Amino acid sequence: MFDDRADEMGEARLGEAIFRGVSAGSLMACVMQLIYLLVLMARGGGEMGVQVCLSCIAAGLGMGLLQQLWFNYGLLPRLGYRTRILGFGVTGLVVLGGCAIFGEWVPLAQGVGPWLGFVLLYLAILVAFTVTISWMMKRRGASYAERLGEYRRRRGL
Amino acid sequence: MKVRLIEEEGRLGIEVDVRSAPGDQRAARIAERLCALDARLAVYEPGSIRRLLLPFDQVLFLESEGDHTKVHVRGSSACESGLRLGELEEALEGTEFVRVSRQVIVNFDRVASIRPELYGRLALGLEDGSELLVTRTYAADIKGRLGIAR
Repeated sequence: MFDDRADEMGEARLGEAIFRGVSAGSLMACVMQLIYLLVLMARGGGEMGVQVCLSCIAAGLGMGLLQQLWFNYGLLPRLGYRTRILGFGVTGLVVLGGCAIFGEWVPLAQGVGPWLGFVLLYLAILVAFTVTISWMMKRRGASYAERLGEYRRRRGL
Repeated sequence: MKVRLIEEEGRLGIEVDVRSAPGDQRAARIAERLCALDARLAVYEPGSIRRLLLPFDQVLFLESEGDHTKVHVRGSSACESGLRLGELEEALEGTEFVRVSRQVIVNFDRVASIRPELYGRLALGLEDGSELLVTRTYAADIKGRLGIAR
């Protein structure tokens, strides 16, 4: 009999991808709320209203689920890495923008300036993450390429 | 099962006949294992009962299709094997064929490039330009072949 090993959740069905998205998103939501509270405390106190809490939770969960949608190869197997980054970036901005409006993260009355700052900050964080991850992958990739070359030379290919 | 080893003076090479009743899967697996020892894979052209012995270096990868397996060949349309992927995996143990997912076994000698992907996966680029994704479960085997620490 052959040993047909089961795949791990990385190639999960939709339900498992949602579970992962919710798990990661919940953690993000907690971190966002913690940051918001620390900023409030630094500014001399205040209350974190219900709308802000809900918007942080929605943002965390939304980003967690989007991460699964765009970077879980079981759901969208044929997409290239750049398409995934672009898709995640655009949909993430839509989700965070909606949460920012609902939670009044950015004052609507103060015009375009704060919103431009919000978008630029988002893009800066996205670019920083993308560059860092791409650099790490490239370094690992170079090591794999070298080892594959050695393997092929050993095999006389 | 009767096994006989017959040594004949002056004979060059080894000839093996596997005789069985029609449709005997065990005999088919034995024949497959013997072919593997000679670095060949027994396949059929689609829609044909003509059996071909394909050298390993012509095979790019094997893909599961339920009760049988699709054999992707260099510079040619795919052939079929009457065995399931798991049975072929058993027969090809110790060769250059390595499992990369539940559905695919790749001929690692036909891999031209390799790059890491997210979540511990790997992407293998084959000589014909096609690409296969190695799941995290099987990435450890690939790393082992390349001498990379898991």
